[in-house]
This record gives sequence, structure tokens and C-alpha cells, in this order.
Amino acid sequence: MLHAHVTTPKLVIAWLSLLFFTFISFGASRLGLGGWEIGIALGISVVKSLIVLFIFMHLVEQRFANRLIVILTFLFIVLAVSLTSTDPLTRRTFPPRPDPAAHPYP
Amino acid sequence: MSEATIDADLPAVDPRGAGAEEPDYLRAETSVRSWLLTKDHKRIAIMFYASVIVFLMLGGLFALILRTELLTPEKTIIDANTYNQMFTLHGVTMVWLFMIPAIPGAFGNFVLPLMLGAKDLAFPRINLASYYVYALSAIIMLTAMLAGGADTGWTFYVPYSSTSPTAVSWMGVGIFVNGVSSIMTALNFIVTTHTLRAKGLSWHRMPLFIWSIYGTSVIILFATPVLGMSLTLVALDHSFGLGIFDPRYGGDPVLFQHLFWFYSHPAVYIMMLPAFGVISEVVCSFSHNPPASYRAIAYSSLGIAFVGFFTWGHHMFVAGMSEFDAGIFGALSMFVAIFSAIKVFTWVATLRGGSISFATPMLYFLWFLFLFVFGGMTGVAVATQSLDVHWHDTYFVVAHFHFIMVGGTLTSFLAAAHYWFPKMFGKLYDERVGLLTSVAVFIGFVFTFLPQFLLGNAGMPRRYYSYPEQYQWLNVLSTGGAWLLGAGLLLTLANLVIALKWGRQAGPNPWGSRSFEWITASPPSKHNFESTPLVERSAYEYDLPEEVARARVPAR
Repeated sequence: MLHAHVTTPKLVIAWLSLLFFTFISFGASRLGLGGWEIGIALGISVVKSLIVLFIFMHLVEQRFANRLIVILTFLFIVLAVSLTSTDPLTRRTFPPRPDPAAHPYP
Repeated sequence: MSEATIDADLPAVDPRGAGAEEPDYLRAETSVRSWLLTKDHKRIAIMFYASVIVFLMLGGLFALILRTELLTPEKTIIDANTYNQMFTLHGVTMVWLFMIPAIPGAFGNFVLPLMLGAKDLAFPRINLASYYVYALSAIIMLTAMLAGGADTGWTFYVPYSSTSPTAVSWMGVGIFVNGVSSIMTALNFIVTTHTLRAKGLSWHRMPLFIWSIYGTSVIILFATPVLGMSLTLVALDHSFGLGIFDPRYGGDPVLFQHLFWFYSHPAVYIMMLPAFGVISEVVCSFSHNPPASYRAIAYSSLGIAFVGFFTWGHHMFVAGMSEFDAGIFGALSMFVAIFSAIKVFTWVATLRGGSISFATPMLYFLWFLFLFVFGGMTGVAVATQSLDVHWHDTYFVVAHFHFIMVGGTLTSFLAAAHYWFPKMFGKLYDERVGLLTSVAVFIGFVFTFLPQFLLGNAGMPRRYYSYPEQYQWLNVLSTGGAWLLGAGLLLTLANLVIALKWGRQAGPNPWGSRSFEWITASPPSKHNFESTPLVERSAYEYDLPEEVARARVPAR
């Protein structure tokens, strides 16, 4: 089923939203949130990408079958990023290796 | 309903095949220009076919030189630098210029529209462009070879590839361009399958080859951009020292491996899924039996395409990846074996009760089955973390991936080359020579790679130029096998080339297949079908007599 066309007011609102999220990204980067920074930045960029895809690239007007490929692409990106991210986040041995420097005289 | 009633209801069809009254696609136009600017999927398929054979020979020549060098522990014919560059060139040529485009480019292009009852692919101009982009990528890679080649191996691992003085950036650009061609072809196949199926040709009536090509196209679409991006980053690191993967600048070399294998492990299925499609067609045609379970074969293709994306980390068990991720990837990798086993059991079950004819393609099916099962089982072994630590970067891994990727792709490519030869060229090849060369190829292959399992298990590292003397007898065996394999392939080519000129005329359906590409004349006319066929049966109704089966797909 085809949906309504993207109208000019919708384009303007989408553009303003993108600007808003850009400021949010910049603001978040200045707050020094440590490990949360990457997650927040990725979250904001996902929202911005969805706005671009659905409004500016007119995906909102498409049938579900055509949207499915974008949804799947998004899921594959999530898969690549999440499994890759778990690697540096869990680079420690199980159980932890003994550290002779920490306890030189048992 | 009696058969007489069926016959009475069905339209009369030309026994010479659809479009037999028109000149065939080879003779419709004969100028060089008509070939170079053709938008006919069959001619583009022939152009791909010729190119992949050239690259198979080139990659094979590199392999023979490498194997000959390894006849003795020290220098035999080439020096160490040339050896390093040659194994990179061998890998790059075989992976990107032969194995990935071979079956989709040559046979997918040719038979997919015929199987769907379409006059061409959805985007004929993009199809031609994809060939020229492929040719351009080959030129860039060959230029890189002439400019000194690359000595990184086909995996381009950083940090070596970002500092190597060889033509790594050029090679990366060549592979990037090659990926563009793959994406164009994949997109074309997906859109064609969705939009150009003949009337009545529902998804569950399609030949299984289409399912496998469709699955392959989906993987290409999702994975190839990641390869393009990663190699671009390596090229930028190499040329401008950006340091994306360089720890000195906060980069992470293991990140490159994540990105590279996110493409390159699914790429194994980009090579194997089309092979599965060919094998499914061959098994049904030469056992004159429908598949034991159509849905099992069709859906397991999609299953492999999906699960193939969860497994890339098993290439990195010893790279410095976390043990947690390694455990997850090891477990996930084994899921692929489930879908592969579904396929193997279904193919074997298809033979049951069939009227089996042992023509050359069927023999290649048997070789495929042996190599795929053997290679697949060693795949489960190398996905086991503790075993992989012992075998990593040894000849065991070389033997494993050659059994799966090369064994699978090559035997199915040769099965397809013989199976669709009458359809593509309207001639029959010499069956006795076909059987003989098939045996030579198989024995050559096994003698080349079986000793490498033993070499790897005994500890011989892959890619090494020299080795201790105790490994020599296995290397001699492997080199002898490689020369036999090379001779078998050359004789196969000679048999097919001779058949082009002197082969007997083939009818529209010499194998008695029920698949839809055999409805047309051999070779097909330029536009395949004058009018869109109306499909009233599935692609595997072997219980119907051939005339009735043909009449249920009336096409002019």
C-alpha cells in the first residue's frame, strides 16, 4: 500500500530535527560521559539516518516489501557493530591471568 | 483426469523448443560491435564465461608455479619475493576474478531469465555495465600485478598491508571496483526474480538454482559494501598513513579483521550457494526425480545466507580477539553445518528411486559431495577453538578451504559447464572424454590437497617459502596432484572447445530435464520467448511425460 507523499512542511520539520540532533551530538560530546559517549553518538546517528531514509529518501511512501530491505540492512549493521564491539569490551582472559607484579611475594 | 484429456486440453508446442524458427542468439548478429554492446543476457553470460576461464587458467598457472617451487625445501624455480607476490596474486585472481563471478556471471546470467520465462534480466544495461566494471577491476588488478603486485596474501592483514612497499593500494582499488560489479549483478538478479517471473511461476515452482542465486545476491548486497569500505581504509592507511588500523595512532588491527571477515566469511557462501544451486539441478535432472524436499533445499539456502553472517570471528581465534567473542563465534559457526547437512541429505535422498544416468555432470556431483562433506567436516573442526589454535595458519587450513571453496566451486562449475553446454551452444560434448577428464580432475584434486591436511597437522605453516626436509615427500605428492589437476582441467577445456566445432547437434532437452530453461530451443533465440510463458507446473514434475510437461509451459 502506498502512503501519502512527503510534503514540504514535513521536509522542513525533518531538516529542523536533523539540526536539533546535530546540536545534541555536539553537546553530548562536550559533557565527558566516558563509556556512554559512543552509545549516545551511535543512537543519535541511527535516529538521523532513519529521518534521512524515511523522509528525504521517501521510504515512508514505499510498500513494506521495499522497506524490508532497509530494515534488514539496518539489522546487519547492528549485528556487525555489536559483535565487533563486544570484542574490545571483553578482551580479558577467563579466569584472569595471574599478575606477578601485583603480588610479588605470595 | 486421464492423460488423453490432459493432452486434449493443452496447447500444441514446437518440439524443437520455443523460438526455434528464429536465428539463435549466437547467429542473430555477428559483428564485433553487436557483441561488445550487447544487452542480451546470454551474450553477456558468454563474455563472463570466457573471462572467468581465462582467470581460472591464470590463477591455476600461479598455483602450479607455487607448487613447483615447493617441490624442494630450498629455492626450486623462483625467489622468495616472487613467491610471496605470487601467492597473493593466486588468491586474489581465484577469489575475485574466478570463484565469486564464475557461476552467477556465466550460468546465472544465462539461465536465470530462461528459468523465469523472461526475455532478459530486469536491467540489461546494468548487466552489460557489470561486465565492463568486472573487466575494469581485472585490468586494475593486473596493472597492480605488473607494478610489482602485493605480498600481503589475499586477506590484506594490517599492519603489514598498511606498510608493505608493494602495490597494496592498487590491489585494494581493483577489489573495490570488482565489488561494484558484484553488487550490480546481485541487484539485477533480485529485481528480476521479484518482477519478471512468468505467469503462474510462484516462488515454490521456481527451479532451485534461482533460490540459490537469490540467496547469493542477498549476501552480496549486504556484505560487499563492508569489504569495499575496509579495503578503502587500508588503502588510505597505506597511502596517507591515516592510522585507522595502526595502534600508534589509536587504531586497532583486529578491527580490520572484523570488517574484512564480515565480508569474507559470507563470501565463502557467495561462492558456495550458486554451487548448491547447480548441484540441485544436476541431481534432479540426472536422477529424473523431483527433489526429496523442495522446501528443505530452498530454505536452507536462505538459512546459510543468514547464518553465514554470524560466523566471521572464527577466523580470528588467535588474532587477539576476546575469548568471550571467540566462544560465541565458535558456537555460531557450527550452525552452518546444520543447513549444509540438510542439503546433503536431501540431495542423497533425491537419488532414491530415481532413474540415475551417470553422465559427466552427475559424476561431478559425486565429486562435489565427497569434497563438500569432507571439507565441511574439517570446517566444523577448525571452528572449534582449541583445535584451531593448533591448526591456525598451517597447511591444514589451506587444505580445508581448498576442499570447500575450490572443490565445491570448481566441481559445480564443471558440472554446470557440461550440464548447460547443449543449451548454451546447441552442441553435445564427447561424453567418454568428459567422464575421463572428470576422474582426472578429482584424483588430481585429492592428491593436491589431502597431503596438505597431513602437512598442516604435522606443523608446516602456510605461505612459507622453505620448510624442513621431513615435509618434502608430502609436498612432492601435493605438487604431483596439482599437475594432474591442471592437465585434467586443460583436457576438459579442450573437450568442450572441440565440441563447439565438431560436437553433435543437441535437441532442446537432451537430458530429459523438466526445468524451464529446456523449454526453449538450443541455443535459444535472441529474445528467449516471443510471448511470456504460462507456467502450470513446478520445475521438477518428473511424473509427467515430457510432451505433457512441455505443454504445461506453453511458450513461443
